[in-house]
Amino acid sequence: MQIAGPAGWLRSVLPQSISDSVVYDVIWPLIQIAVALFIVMTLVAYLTLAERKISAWIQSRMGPMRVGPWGLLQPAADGLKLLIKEDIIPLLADKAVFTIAPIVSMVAAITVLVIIPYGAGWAPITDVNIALLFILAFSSVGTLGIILGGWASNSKYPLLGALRSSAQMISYEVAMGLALIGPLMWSKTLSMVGIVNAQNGDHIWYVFYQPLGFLIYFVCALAETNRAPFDLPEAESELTGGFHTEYSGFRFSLYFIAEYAAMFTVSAIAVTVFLGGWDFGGLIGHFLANTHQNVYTVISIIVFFGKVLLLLWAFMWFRWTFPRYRYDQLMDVGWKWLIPASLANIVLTGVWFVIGISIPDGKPFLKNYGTYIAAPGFPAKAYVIGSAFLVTITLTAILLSSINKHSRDFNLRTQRQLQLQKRAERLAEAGNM
Amino acid sequence: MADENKSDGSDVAPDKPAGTGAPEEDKYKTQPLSAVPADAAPKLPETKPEPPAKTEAETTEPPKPVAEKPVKPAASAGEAKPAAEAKTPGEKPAPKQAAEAKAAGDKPTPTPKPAAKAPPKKPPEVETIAIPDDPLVVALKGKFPDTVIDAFAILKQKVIRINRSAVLDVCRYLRDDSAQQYNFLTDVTALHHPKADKKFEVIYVLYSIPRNERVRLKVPLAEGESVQSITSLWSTANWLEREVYDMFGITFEGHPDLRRILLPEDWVGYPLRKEYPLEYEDNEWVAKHLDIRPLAEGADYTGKFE
Amino acid sequence: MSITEKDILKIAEARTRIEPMFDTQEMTLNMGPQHPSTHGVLRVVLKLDGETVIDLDCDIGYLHRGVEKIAENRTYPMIAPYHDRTDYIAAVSNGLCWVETVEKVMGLEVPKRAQYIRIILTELNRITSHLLWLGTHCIDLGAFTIFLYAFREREEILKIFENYFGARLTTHAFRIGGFWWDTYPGFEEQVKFFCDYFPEKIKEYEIILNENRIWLQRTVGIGLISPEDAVDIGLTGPPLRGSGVNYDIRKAMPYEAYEEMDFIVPLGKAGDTYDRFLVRMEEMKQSRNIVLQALDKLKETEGQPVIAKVPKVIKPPIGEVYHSIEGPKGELGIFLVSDGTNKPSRMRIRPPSFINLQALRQMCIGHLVADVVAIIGTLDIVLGEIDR
Repeated sequence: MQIAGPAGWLRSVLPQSISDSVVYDVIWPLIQIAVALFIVMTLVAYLTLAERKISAWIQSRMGPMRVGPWGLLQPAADGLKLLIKEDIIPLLADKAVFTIAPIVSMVAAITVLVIIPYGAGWAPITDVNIALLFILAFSSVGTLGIILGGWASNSKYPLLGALRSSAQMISYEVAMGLALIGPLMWSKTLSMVGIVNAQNGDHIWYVFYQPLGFLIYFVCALAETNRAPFDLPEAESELTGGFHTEYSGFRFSLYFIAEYAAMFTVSAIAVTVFLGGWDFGGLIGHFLANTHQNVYTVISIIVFFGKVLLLLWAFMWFRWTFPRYRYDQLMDVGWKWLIPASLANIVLTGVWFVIGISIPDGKPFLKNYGTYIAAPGFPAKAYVIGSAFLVTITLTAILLSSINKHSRDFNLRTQRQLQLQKRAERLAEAGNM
Repeated sequence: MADENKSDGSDVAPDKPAGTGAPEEDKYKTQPLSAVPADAAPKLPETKPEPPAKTEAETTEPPKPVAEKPVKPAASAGEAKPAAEAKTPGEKPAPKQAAEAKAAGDKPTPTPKPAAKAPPKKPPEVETIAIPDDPLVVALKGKFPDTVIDAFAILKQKVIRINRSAVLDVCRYLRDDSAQQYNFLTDVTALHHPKADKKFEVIYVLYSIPRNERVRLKVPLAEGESVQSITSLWSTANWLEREVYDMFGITFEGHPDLRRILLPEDWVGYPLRKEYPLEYEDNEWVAKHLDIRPLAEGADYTGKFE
Repeated sequence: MSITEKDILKIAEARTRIEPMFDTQEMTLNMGPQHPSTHGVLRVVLKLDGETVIDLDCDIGYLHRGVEKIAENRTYPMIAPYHDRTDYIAAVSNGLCWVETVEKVMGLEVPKRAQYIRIILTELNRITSHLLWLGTHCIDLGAFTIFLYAFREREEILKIFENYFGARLTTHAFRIGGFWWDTYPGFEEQVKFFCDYFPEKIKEYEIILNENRIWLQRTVGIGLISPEDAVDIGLTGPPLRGSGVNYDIRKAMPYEAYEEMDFIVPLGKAGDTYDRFLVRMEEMKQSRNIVLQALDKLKETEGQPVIAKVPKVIKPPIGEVYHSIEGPKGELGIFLVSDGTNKPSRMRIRPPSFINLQALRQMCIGHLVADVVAIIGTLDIVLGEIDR
């Protein structure tokens, strides 16, 4: 059995005494894992530098410039500094849990890297058929790491931060999962590779079919990773550090790596499910896919990482632009805005789906290709995209306004008018000043 | 970073600023510290005269509530000796004035008005004008007889001295009366006159926002006397009176929470009183909380703190 | 105060709207002297029911240096640098209050040219202080970028201060009687340059913040105080004007040449954090207008002296005076008792931040912990001035 690409090359260079299954199922995946881990960890390290540089450019300054040319070796310096710092554990902290907590976060963040489809062909390490579910489930374990860290620190501020953070994360996971159901109606599979293939086959990115879903997913991704404007649990100005107040040195860096790796993961999911994954379409793509598979794969890997980096840049842009939500407003947004919106999205998408696949007699808009459902041709696509942008979003907006009409933080302008009116009446009654 | 610190020549100060080209500064620049003789340092103004000089002056004090004029000329009489320019003409009228005021009787009257643009021979005092006919004073005297000790205007600011028993009522009247409307309490502070009969004086500065008028109330207090708190009228008096208590030791009756505000809870002493020393004392609080003990007398500490 | 225990609990319950299913304890949280957003060494002890603040107590005095006691042992010119260190952000206006008080007691008339220069510098100082307030307020609420933009604007003004006084922060700006030196060549151009490029920067901040949904949610309705309560608790400055009370000393009891300046005093309507924010933004614009007017008048007084005839040793006559100015934080007053010598007998500083901070308790009860930070920011306190 000859397999194309590097796996085949590997088979050819290794002695025949090693059986096929060992090469294809043990050694090759191990090499893939090692390479993927190396690339992603380097990316995570340079994300810290990118954060500082992007924040600096937004704030009209330069960022780190000293370590290496234009500060490019800064992550190495940071990593080294954190490694050689003193290991401080508070006196009354629970030592075992204190040590394990960041490891739990880190493990949860890194384990899901094995399922992300980095590219076409031989690039994905594995193709699990419930990949999306696995990712959602395993990311939730990261929450446990934060709670354990806050509790084990035996101090009020970390405890408050940990509890807030965990409540925030589980609230937004619901909306995140629900937002992902929309594209699943099209791709008919939870497998990441399958979702990308579905988008490929339909020559469309699901962000156009599910704009609301993408928006909801992106906002939930911001909240899942405790990024601004949802970063109250680790807000320096209010809780002096939140759950990682008592952590320093290497353990702190583990939390940090876990946070950035989680950012990478949610961005990768967004790219896969909504932005077409590694697919770069067009004539060049199809030509290469049919002739030079290896080149196609390499380019697809680069394209995938490019899209992920674009989303990560958006993460950082939002962080340095918006103020921070207060905690109750944060939960408000999660439960009263995003969850109803995502439910409305599912229902409305389902309605258009059913109409599209059955009602137009003879020539329905949507075609079932077995592994996925597509909307071939311009009228079909116009139908789907039009219904998504125009009708779904409008109806969801109306629904959200009516749900939140009496909420304290919605319609602040009207509230102010009312307040001023009442005050004017009161002053008129009193008749002074 | 180094580039930012470089300056172009435009903001370098000239070597000798006009009018202060004193040769002493060059000495500091060119000679090492040990070479500077002990008397080359500029003389600091000397501190106030020692108490023995004052005890004589105290006996000549007229026994009446505190008024600055008799007190201060006596003090400046003691101080004129170290002062470089002896304002000798200023001292002579001042004891004369004290005698005049004593002779005038118990009711303190303000000085005969010296002209504002007087030649330097006049006593260095700001003109105070008695205002017995001011409508506010008349109203107060009408409503609260025997509380107004005197009233004068100094630098166009109205000052009314009242008895300590009537503070709360007067303030309430000033706040609530529609003709007065002093609804804003600007400040509560105190003065300490160690040589006067009534040693302390609590000052209230009130302001009327609708009428844009300010008035200052002074309440003389003897040692140990307390005054009613006006926290029930203005909440702002809460911390202001706490600070007066903290710094002077004047207690306010009826204050909801009279404890020290700027100094630690268990501090001993009231710093803004005149007898409290300015320099750092190694007192018990410091020894207890900061573990700093006074240096042993006569011990040799040279070279030990480098 | 008029809030009772019952009211506090009612507010707390209304906010949480959860039926207590089990016994909850109230928690005492210490926003200690070292905290990133208490603007100095301020200790706030919060009693919390969950996240809601039930009670609050401020513990101040960590920065108490005894300035008033020191002032009784220093000559009048020597006291001026101490005033820079009380409100170290608005050092120029502190110095203004001091020299004006001494001039009032001495009966000195400051020449017109010096008055115009004083107005320019004081209003620039007001812009500086408000920019720093804006930066720190935003960084407390999470909008980090505005902090750096505000400091970029401040750099221009601090360069002017450095060129004139030699220092950026503790400036010792004014001398009793006027100025020792006239303005340096290039002063007017630098000030004009700043005034020309400042309005678009303010516009930038307004675009980012004024209609930002998250900003509105964090500031509207937070820290409400009615005008009656504001006058009762003694607030001055933007917190008072944010509640709608028109009390600005520059208009009520004008000092320097403020009668000749044409400006409006912005007033808020509802008395919440958003209103105080708008009031301070508008005050910055008004300050810029005042600076431009003063610059024009300055040109007319070219060549005139900048200092009055001041004796070599400052010995004010015996007397007392209370003089106040409109500082950026509120009404800054000095009560000076002089006894004819070259040292004052008593110098009392009426610190606006000290009195404004009293309102913290009233404003915070019923709000969440995250709002306490916003309210401390909106009161614009400086611990140097509170503790002196």
